[in-house]
Amino acid sequence: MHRIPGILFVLLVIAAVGFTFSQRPTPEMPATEVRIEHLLILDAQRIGSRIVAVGERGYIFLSDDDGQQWRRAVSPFETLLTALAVVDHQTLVAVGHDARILRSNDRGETWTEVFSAPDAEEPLLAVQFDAKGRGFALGAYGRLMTSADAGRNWTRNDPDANELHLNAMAAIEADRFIAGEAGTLLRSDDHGRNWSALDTPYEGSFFGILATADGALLLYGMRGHVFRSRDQGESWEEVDSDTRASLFGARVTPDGRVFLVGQNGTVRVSTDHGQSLQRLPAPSGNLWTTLLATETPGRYLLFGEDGVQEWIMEKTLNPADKP
Amino acid sequence: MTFRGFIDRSADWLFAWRVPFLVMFVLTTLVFAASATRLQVDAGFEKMIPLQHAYMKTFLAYRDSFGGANRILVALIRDEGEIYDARFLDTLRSVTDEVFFIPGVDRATVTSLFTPNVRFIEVVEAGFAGGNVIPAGFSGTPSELATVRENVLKSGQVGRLVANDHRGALVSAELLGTDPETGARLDLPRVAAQLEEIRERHASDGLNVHIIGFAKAVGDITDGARGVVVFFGVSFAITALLLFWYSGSVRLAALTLVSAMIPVVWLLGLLPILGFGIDPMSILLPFLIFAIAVSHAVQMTHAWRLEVIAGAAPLEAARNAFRKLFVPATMALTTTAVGFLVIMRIEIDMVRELALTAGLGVALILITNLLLLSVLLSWTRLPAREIERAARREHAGDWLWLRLKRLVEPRNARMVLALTAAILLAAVWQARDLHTGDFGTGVPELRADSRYNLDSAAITDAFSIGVNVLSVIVQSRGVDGACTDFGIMDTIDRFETTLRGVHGVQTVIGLPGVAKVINAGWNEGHPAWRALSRNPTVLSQAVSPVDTGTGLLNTDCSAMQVLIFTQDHDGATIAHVVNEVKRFREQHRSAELDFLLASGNVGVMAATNEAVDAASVTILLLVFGTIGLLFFAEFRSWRATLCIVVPLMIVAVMCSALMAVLGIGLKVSTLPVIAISVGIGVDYGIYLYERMAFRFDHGDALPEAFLHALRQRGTAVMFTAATMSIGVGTWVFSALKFQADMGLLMAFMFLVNMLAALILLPALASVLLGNGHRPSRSHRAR
Repeated sequence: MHRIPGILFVLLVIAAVGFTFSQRPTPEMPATEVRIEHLLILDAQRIGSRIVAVGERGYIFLSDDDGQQWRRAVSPFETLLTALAVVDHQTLVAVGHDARILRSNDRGETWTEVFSAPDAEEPLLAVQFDAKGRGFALGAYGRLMTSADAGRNWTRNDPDANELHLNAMAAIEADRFIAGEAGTLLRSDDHGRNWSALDTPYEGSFFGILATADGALLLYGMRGHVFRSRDQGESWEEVDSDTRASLFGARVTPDGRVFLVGQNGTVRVSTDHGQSLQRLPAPSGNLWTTLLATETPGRYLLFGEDGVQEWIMEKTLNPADKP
Repeated sequence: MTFRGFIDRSADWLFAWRVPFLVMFVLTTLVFAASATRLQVDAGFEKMIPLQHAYMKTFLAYRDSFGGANRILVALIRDEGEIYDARFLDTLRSVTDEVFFIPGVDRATVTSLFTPNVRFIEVVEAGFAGGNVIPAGFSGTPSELATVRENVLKSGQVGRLVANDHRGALVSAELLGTDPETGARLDLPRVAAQLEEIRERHASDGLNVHIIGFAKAVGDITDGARGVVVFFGVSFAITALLLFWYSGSVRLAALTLVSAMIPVVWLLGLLPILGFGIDPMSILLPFLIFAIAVSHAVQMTHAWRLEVIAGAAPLEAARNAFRKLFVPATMALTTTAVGFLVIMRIEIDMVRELALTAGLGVALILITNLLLLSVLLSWTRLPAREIERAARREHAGDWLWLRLKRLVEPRNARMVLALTAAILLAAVWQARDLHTGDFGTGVPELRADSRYNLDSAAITDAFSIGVNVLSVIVQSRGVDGACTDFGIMDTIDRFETTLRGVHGVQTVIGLPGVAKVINAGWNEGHPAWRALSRNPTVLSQAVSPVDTGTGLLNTDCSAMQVLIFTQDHDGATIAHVVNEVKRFREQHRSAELDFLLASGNVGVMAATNEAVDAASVTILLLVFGTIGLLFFAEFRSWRATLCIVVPLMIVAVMCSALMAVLGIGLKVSTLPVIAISVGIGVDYGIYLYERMAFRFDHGDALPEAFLHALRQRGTAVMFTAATMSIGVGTWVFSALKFQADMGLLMAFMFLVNMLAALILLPALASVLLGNGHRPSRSHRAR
């Protein structure tokens, strides 16, 4: 009987040793998830209070708190999405490689494919809708597709563009403009049915075109070239961008400012509808593709190679700040 | 012939032939001493990795195709100002040239702003334009410096060859496997020394030179290992002083030291004969052998002195000491050898060599301690004054022994057990936090504040370069031109994207990611073209500019490498990343495509950690099991066996708890410590219990038997544990982190094992054996 404590002790020690050296659970780690900061984001749009961003491998991200937190939406395909357009307060259309067109009618939560042509090797590079739900999707080798039913059905309607890439579209009233590879510049005055070439101010490629709040056109592209037209594209004057980095994205923010972004972390802003551009201390980054203003004044979201980055613009802008 | 009879016959024989024996010992020692001078430092990379592990098989299979593991980086970083400065660029040019001319550098791979393989490319209206970053005929004029700055921006080298803030620049080079002049294996410490010369020539006020790379790390580790020799001197001196203080006799102290040094000399002499070298881990072995030899020699001299005090002549005393110690010494040394040999379960050559040589060293101790020392003692005459003093001191310990004896009273014994149980539970609670692998960043063998690790931190800080790489080999089978197969490339691209989202991963580089950027380059740099084409011809255009020198693909594209840079090399991070790779592999492997783990330094760590993990439980089972069996075979009592093994188990748990508290991971250097320390720590119990069993056989009850054991062996047990702890404790000052860890843990283990033998053993014996008279069970009754 007097040995019971001893035996108990021995059993305790054996149990303790067994427990100590038994397989240790690996420490809990946050689950693996594809996060926006790991991906190239090519376009972002605001729909109501939500921001939707698309990019690398077709991933789609949503933010309901003005760009602070992002979550992934269910995207059905894993090919690069290049552009995004808002059709109405519920509907979005995204386009990309494989000439794929995706449509969402729940503000980006779920997406369905409405068109694709993987074997054609003609990626779509831009998409636009007008207020009546007429849509344009344009891309490589002169591909232009149009939709008359808010992006449900698409038909091909290529302009004569010598098989050059069509990179961007802008509209002023009834006039539509396309800018593209090797100085391609097209205009249509019948809602995009017929297109004619305009005299180009530059032989290099344009990556974007947009209409400013005062009704002018701003054309930008390779090696920092920026041009401005006040006569529906008839004549162009060059704007000094003070950079030789290519510019890939531009946005007119609700206050009427124009932002241009591009290679080597380039950010330029204009407070005079694009007549002049200024350099600003922006966060460093390798490549920006687009920018969005947030609901907080002075707070912007820069999109690009490393997803999204917040930018608080410290300097108040006025025309006298021109360098 | 009985066993006892055998021991007696051996003793008679040994002492009858003691002169020829001594001559033979002297001659053998001279031969081995001569041979020991041929001993070489051998820090081969392959010795340090678990070659049998599946990851390492992948690593070895693709090492020639991808290399990349043996790169050196020399970074020049200014305190103030950018690199666009005539003097800075001049220094960069000199360093580039000097790296180029180091023997063993693969000259084609030398890369810096000054080498022709670094170019800038820009997209212009007519297509591409490009050139060398440093213009031809560069002389350092301000306008040329401005051009260099512009070219650097266009070259995309910011973060790679040029620091993110433009205050520094790098020279990078790959090393060859062999020295092109001699054809022998490249002497990495020599390359490291030449790099160090470059640093000395060019570092100045305001300009820091940082050097990293496997070769430099090996060089620094080897230097650190050499520094250990100093500790050997220190611990030898401390041991000598302690021995003198303990024995009160110069003669005995000297005899003990000599007989403890001889197995070390023999071992060092045997190594070159066996074809072994010494590496940063086994360089600790001479210490350990010396310390073990000292502890057994102390038992021998102590036993001899007790005989002399009792009135025996030196020869008779030596013979008796030999007879009394034959069993416990043989057993204790056998368990020590077991402790070493079980670590062979870790399938790493460095560890196995350590285990083998240590086992050999322990066998040598048996010879020198039992045979040589007792022979030497048989000629030793102590002055009467010393004998008298020693006799007085023999009873000096009685105040402690009588107190310890009270521990066998049932009430006290239960108190001790209750207290131990409480400590044990606290230890278990802590020990569950023990992790496998390393902590932190930098090279784990070196200290966090070592020059190398500071250099590594400076470089990773200034440049976007990771130093912790896990590389996964993507292998295609039966696919012609896997690099231009959209399906395969797309799967690898998904792998890259998925792994980027794994916790602990910093960046991921793979062929598809690079090919996507090149594809955009073919399309005027437009990011909307950063995609893989389904068309093999177009895809080929995007892949062909990627050189095999990048390590991202082999020549026929049957294997592609994905480099996963991790934030640190904590064991937990590595295990998590590896698990996520395995999960992806299970979902995506096919007949054509497989994802093979692993290469890169993190790949090696992953394999090593897994090897350690797999071996740890077996090693502990083996060491406890073997010791228990040996003990049972000798003393024929499973209760007595428990009295010995249970304290060892408790100490092993406490050691794990200490490791967890101190942030020391379970790894190649620390797992052996547990086994070795158990093998050595059991000695104290064995020496004590052997005397107790002897008294049991004479009909003594436990309290008297324990008191007798304490009087005979207690002093020596306490003394040897203290000396050994101090000896290994000096390692704490080593420049090498793992040596410091090993020293600290061993010192702890020796002390706690000693305490367990003195306190826990009697308490356990009391409750398990009982305090009454015991019938003799031993076959050794005499």
